[in-house]
Amino acid sequence: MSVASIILLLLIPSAAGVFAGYATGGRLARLTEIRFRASWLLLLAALFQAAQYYARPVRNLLEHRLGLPPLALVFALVATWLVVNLLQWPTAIRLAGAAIFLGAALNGLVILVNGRMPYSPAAAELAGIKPGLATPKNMPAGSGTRLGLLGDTFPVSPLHEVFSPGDAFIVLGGSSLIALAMRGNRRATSVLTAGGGEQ
Amino acid sequence: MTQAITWQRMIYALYILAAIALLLYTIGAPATDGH
Repeated sequence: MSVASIILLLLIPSAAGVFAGYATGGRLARLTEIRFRASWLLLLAALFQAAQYYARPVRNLLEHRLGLPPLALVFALVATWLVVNLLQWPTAIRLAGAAIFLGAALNGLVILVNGRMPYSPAAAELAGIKPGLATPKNMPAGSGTRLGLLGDTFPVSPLHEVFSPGDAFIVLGGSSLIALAMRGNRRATSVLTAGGGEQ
Repeated sequence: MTQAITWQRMIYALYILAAIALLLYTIGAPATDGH
């Protein structure tokens, strides 16, 4: 994982979420009120994700011997974790989780129909990425690319990165989830639902 | 005792943040030249 990815996917959403949480009267201590179940699914997904880049034997074993595309495995594990947890979160936090789920589904769909996440060569050029670069997760979009609009099309020049509409939902949902959880389950639910209906 | 509870809460809050970070790492798919 590049430094730019860490900044875009991890630091910015976490920092924005914590900032928004404090700005709206939340406290970091209230994060303890939310319950995450089956976290081992996330850990396993992260291990498979990392294996794609750093452990070629594991990737080959999954892909060629077992016939399991690593990206499909990662998305399936995360989707399962989200479903398990979404059902038990209060409504407002569930909405933030749903935004993450939607982002994952959009990214997963494009990866499913193309094999990898396509990125716009024009956007990549604007972001200062070397032309034609392919990774285990990304490839340049071409004439045969399907659902290209859902691929990586938004350049972030300072970070040399191109992100997708799905990534935007994921980052927004992740930040919102932290901010809402910092407000506490009951308050987050009552503020953001029209009738103040709580779980 | 109270201090121990505060530490437990802080560690759990960090665990939640780490879990969200893992979540974003696994399903985010930005293109970058740094992989």
